Amino acid sequence: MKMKSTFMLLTIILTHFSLMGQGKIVNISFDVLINKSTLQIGKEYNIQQNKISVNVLRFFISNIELYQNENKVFFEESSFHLIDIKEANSKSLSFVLPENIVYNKIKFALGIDSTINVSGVMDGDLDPVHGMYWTWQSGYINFKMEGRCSECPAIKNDFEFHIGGYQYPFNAFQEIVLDLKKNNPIKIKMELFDILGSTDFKTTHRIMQPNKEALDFSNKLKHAFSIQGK
Amino acid sequence: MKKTLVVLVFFICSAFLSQKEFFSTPKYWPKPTYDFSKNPIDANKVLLGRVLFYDPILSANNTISCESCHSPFSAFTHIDHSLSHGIHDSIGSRNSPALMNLAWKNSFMWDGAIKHLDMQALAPISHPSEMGSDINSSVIELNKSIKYRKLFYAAFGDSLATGEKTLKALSQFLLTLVSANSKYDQVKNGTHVFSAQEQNGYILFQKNCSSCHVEPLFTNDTFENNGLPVDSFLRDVGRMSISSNADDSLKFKVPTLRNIEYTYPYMHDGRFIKLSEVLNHYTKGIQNSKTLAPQLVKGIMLSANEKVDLISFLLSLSDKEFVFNPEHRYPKIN
Repeated sequence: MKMKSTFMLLTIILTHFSLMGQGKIVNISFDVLINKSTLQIGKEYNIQQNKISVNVLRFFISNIELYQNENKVFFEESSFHLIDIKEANSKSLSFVLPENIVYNKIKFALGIDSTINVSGVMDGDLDPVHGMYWTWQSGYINFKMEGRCSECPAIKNDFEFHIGGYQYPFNAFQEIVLDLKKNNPIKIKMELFDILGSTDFKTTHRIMQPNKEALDFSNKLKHAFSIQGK
Repeated sequence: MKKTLVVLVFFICSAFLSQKEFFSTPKYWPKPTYDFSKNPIDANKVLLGRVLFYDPILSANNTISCESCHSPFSAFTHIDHSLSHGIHDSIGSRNSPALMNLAWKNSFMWDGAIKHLDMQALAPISHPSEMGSDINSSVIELNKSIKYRKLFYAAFGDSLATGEKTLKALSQFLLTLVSANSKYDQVKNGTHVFSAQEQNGYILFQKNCSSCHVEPLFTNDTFENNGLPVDSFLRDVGRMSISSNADDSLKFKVPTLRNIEYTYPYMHDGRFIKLSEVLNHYTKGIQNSKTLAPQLVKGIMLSANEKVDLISFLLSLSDKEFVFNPEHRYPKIN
C-alpha cells in the first residue's frame, strides 16, 4: 500500500514535470443533451407526446485521434473511456499533446473495436464489473440506455437499449469525425432528443443483442454528436 | 563470503525446483490458441483461480461453485446429470461441458457464444439458473474476505480484487487442466501399444469419426448438426440462437472425445447415458435435415462387433492421471 502511494506520488511529480517541459493539456468533455439542455437522470421529459425519463446512460468512447485536415497528428494510446452520466468525473478527460501540434478535427469511436472484443479480459474502464460486457455471449455493450417511456408496453413502462456487436453484419462500432471550432477545451455534445423522438416505443423498447435494430440505433447515435459552442 | 554464496545457490536452486510446470504442449499437438503473453502462467495465480473455482462465494447465495457442475472426477462435467442444475435447484437447458485442453479452443459453450476463455466464467456467474449473481457483486464479496485479500496480493502484488484479475486467475487454473496422458497418448509417445481390439477400433474411428473429432484433441472445435431429433420441450436450435443464421440451425459444438468414459451423459442435452446408445444413434438414429453434417447423410455402418471395438478404442482416451490429479482438486489452504 505504502509502495503504491509512493509510486502514485512519483507519477504525479513526473507528469507535472513532463507537462512543464514539452506539452500542453487538452481537455475533452462530453455532455449529453435533451433538447439543448443537459440530460438529468430521472427527470421526466415530454418528447412527441411521450413522457420519457432516463435512469442509466453509459457508453464507451475510444480511439481518440486528432487531425489537421486529412493528416493524423495525434492518437491517444490505450484510448478507452467509459462515460457514465451519473459519474461527473467520467464525462471529462484530458491528455498531453506535444507543444507544436496543430489540428482542426477530432476523430473518435462510439464503442469498442472488434480486436479488443476478442482479446480476453481487460482492466480499468474495460473491466466487465462495469456491466458493459455481455455475459451470455462475447462482446462489449457500446452504449447502454435504460429508462421509462409512457408508451412502452412493458413492466413499469421500462425500455432498455443495450447497443453493441462487433461482427459483420451487425457491427455497431461507430466512428465519428467532427470539425473543431476551438482547439482547447474540446466540448462534445450528444443530443438525444431526435433519437428518443423518432423511436417507436410501442414496437421498439428492448434491444439487447447485436442485430439489425442495434445497428440502426448505433447509426442514429453516430449522428447525435457535434461540437459545442460557436 | 563462501557461506553466503552457498546459501544463495541453495535459494536459487530451491526456487527453480519449486517452479512446477503448470502448462506444456505435448509434441504431437498443435499450438495453443490462448495468448499466454497476455496472462502468463504463475503459480500464485493458478492457486487463486483454483480456490475461486471451488468456492461458492461467486454465486448469489453462497451455494453454487464452478465445481458444482464441473467435478474433477468426471473430467470436470456434471456427472449423471443430463441437464445441469444450479442455484435454487433450477435446471439449465444444456449438459455442462467437460473442461479440459481449453487452451486449444476458439470458442466456448455448445453454441460458441463465448469467444475467449477469460470471459467464459461471466456466463455461469450471471445466469439466473446457474450462479445467479454478477461479476461486480462477486468482486465486492471477494474484497470483503481477508483470505482473498492475501491470495490476490500473492498473485498480483495488489490485494484489491477486480473483475479482470478474478477472471484471469480463473483462466489460469482452467488452462492447467490439460489431459494428455491417456493410453492413446502413450501409444503416440511409443511407451504403450494398443490391444488388437483397440487397434481395430482406432481404424474404425479414423474411417468414421475423425473428420469431426480430429486428433489429437478429438474435436475440430466447430459446429455440426449430428442428426439428433429435436427435443420437443427444449426446442434448442443450437448455434443459430447466437448467429441468427439459418445455416447454423441445430448445430452444436463438436465435443472432445477425450475422457469420454467419465463424461456421461452425452450430447448437448445429455440424452444418452451409454456409449452404445451414442453409437446406435449414429448407425440408425440420424434424422436428415438441411443442416445435417454431410458426412452423416448416408449414416455410419458398424456391425455389433465393430461397435464393441470402437468403444474399446474410445476407452483408451481415458486419462486417469488427469481425473485423479490432486493438483486439480479442492485446494487445502488456510
